[in-house]
Amino acid sequence: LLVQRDGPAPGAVNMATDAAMLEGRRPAFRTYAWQPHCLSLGRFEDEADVDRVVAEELGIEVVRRPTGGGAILHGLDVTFCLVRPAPPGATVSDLYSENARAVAAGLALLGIEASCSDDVGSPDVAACFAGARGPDLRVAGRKVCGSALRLTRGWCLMHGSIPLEADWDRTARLLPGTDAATLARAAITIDEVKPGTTRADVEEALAAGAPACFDLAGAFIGDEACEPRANPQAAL
Amino acid sequence: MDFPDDLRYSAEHEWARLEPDGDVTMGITDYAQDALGDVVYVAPPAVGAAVEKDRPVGEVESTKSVSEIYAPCTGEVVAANDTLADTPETINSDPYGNGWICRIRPSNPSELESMMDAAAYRAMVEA
Repeated sequence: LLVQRDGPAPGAVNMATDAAMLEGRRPAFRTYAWQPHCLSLGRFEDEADVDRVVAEELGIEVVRRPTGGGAILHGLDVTFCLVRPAPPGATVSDLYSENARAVAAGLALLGIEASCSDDVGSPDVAACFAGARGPDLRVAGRKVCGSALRLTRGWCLMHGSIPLEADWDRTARLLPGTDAATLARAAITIDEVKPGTTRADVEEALAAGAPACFDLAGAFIGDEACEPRANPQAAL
Repeated sequence: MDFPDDLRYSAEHEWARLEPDGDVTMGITDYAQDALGDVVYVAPPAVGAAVEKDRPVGEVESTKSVSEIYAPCTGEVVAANDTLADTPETINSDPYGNGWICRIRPSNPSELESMMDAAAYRAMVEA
């Protein structure tokens, strides 16, 4: 699995990079950031959900992801892209579950225990972090990682976003109909869980823990492999 | 799991039916809808669009996951199932009937012969 840690880039560059990684059919895990800060919309989200005047006022770009799901404001988060084969017979739920376990393995290296839970369903709003579904990772019942997939010809691209700090006020301003208090209740940030954790800490942990759950060909190799202690080379 | 005998099947889990008028109706299989989970959005091709066998012809979203749909044959799209815009869940409940996605006027109907019959497709997904 190719592991790549990239610095900040504009939204269009980030999406083009991820699309090229999927097109290249090479197992990979990439972490990255955004400059300027950027609101990403799911593949079929309505652009009318976005207040463009506020976006311009805040200097925030708007970009469309190739993956599904809801809108995410990037800037105060760690974003990642995982490209891997989707084995024959794997359901969308299977892929979410395996990918989530890999991300959880990365967070575990920070001492953060994240897990999936019963499906409570997302409220019908545009913002990804307004609610969690079964495959979403949570800490203390609150969503810690927004994720979405794209499947093409037997390959899977997963986008993920882990909030470092709360950015709910700006998110709510950008997405009229979304309430900042709802976001703050439904989601949790790394700063709340482990104050003092830096962006580099999270990127390093993800880059060490998540790829250890896959073999060189990108196949998920099981829960045991996801245990940090079972992969001393993956320890920080 | 349903595998109607009168359809042809692709390895990417599309079905195709050659209609009496020579057009080809297509959709995704029962197996595919089950693997995707609840379908929440369908993007069928535009009527009049030229499509090419095995190239993307549309997309479906389920559980925050977007999947491509591939054309079973080369030709022109002559109809698209617009009812899926309001009731995308029909893909789950009736994948071979009201969940059809589009109809294609094939430029070479023999392309369907390279697709699997029901027995071969069943064997593939049950392997």
